[in-house]
Amino acid sequence: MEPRGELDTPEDAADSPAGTRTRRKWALTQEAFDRLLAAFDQDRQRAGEKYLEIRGNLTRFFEWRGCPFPEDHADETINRVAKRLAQGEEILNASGYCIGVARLLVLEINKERAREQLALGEIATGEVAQPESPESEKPIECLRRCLAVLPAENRELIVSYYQGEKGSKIENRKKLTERFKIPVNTLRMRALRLREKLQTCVEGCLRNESIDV
Amino acid sequence: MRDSRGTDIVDKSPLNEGLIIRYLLGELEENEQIEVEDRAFQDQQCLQSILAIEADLIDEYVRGDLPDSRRQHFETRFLASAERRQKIEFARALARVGPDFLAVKDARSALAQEPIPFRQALAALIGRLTPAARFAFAAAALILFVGALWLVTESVRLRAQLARLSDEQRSREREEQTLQRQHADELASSDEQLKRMREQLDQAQQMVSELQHQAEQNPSPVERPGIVSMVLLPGISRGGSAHPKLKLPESARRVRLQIGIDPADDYPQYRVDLRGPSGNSVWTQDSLSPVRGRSGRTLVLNLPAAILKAGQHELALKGISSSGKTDDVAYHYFDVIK
Repeated sequence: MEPRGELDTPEDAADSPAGTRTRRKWALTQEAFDRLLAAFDQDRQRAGEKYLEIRGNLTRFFEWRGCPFPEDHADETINRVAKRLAQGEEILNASGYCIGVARLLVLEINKERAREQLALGEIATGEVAQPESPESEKPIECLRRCLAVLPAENRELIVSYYQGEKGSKIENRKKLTERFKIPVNTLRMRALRLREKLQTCVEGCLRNESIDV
Repeated sequence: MRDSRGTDIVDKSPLNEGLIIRYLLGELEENEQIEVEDRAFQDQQCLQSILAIEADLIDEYVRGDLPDSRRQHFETRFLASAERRQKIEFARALARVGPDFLAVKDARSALAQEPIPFRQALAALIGRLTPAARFAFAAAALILFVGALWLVTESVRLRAQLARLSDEQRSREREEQTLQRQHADELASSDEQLKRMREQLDQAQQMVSELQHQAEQNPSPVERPGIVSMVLLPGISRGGSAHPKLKLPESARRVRLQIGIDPADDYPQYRVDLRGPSGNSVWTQDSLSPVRGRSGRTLVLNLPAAILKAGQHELALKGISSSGKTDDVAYHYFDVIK
């Protein structure tokens, strides 16, 4: 079953992330969450893994679509799917259904943004949040510390992979494939995984947690 | 895309990189976006490609490599959420820190591959210094050189002094050992002399007691008035003020002299030469054999009493070796009283 457009129903308007009309707020119950997991997979362990994968994909989806709170939107999407299931709706492809619900939520978010911009007039038009001050040295120091605890080979890979401008970057990566004797796609995956680990490490360092990569 | 049973068909062909970039920048139509997203969430490799291209896009942005048109799209999409702003911040840090790490790595590689000779490294170091720093460097080097020279000289001097002191100490030790040996020899010699004197004294005491015993057993001079006896002990000889006295009564016809012999004077035969108060020889007798008794060896001499005059007499005792050689053994003095 395909997800229905939800903005047209007053009940769902109360669930809207920016909704102002409140009738009754649906909350995720244990029973509804169990039903959601069962829809993902009959095996509870695999269902949990599937839940995490779907939530991660939803977060990315909202990021890619330029939404302001990707994780919150992902949780809202899952809540809505759980609600449908609690209401007795049968879902064959939970993953695809979730993305469908997420796309509808994006429409809601965009409409809400447009409404806000209209309300605020031209002041907010085209305004986007600016990146944090590049002058801050703390992320730099944190990254240095995180790089320092990486094994030398991984450090060389991550630093070299992302160095240089377009032409020299391609040349760098070619040398790295020769240096590590791995195909370009494997190199790209390794670099990406290292980058994600490093970023997690830096974020932990900025929260004054211990350095661990 | 779905098959006849309604199952999704996964397109495994790789997504065009340009399409992904346009997707990430929000430049695609809704249906194209859905196509990219469906591919991403059905194909893990496609998802990883999008994430990798996203990372490169962020890097290009922080390096200022994005064209203005795309830069605006990028900021609209990527600055909208805190999660993506963190990614941008991380990319910015990586762009700053990366070259430092690469420089360190290159320097280490260069050092590992080609070690720079000391003189060359020193010349390069000095070449980079300012004139003032060069002067300071030269002054420091000079001070170091002079200090090292002084240390070497002092070390040599102290070593020589130490060697001289060692020689002196060894010499003193040798002298001390020699003195100790001499002292020990003298002590041993003194002990030996003392022992010999004690033996002579013992012999003399035994001889006296023996003679007294003989005198008790033999008839008294009164009973045999013709013979007068006297004992001359070894070691009691010349130079003594108290000489033995031999009282000769008028009735005495013979004098019996018993002469004790020192155990050290071990001769097979002896000779006796007796001189009177005037120094003239009054009696000489050769080839006298000693008689062994309890108190040692003695010579017995029987003389006519008439040859002895009143006054001091000297009896010279000489040992005759088996080769016939004669040695002075002892001189005895006694006074004759008439």
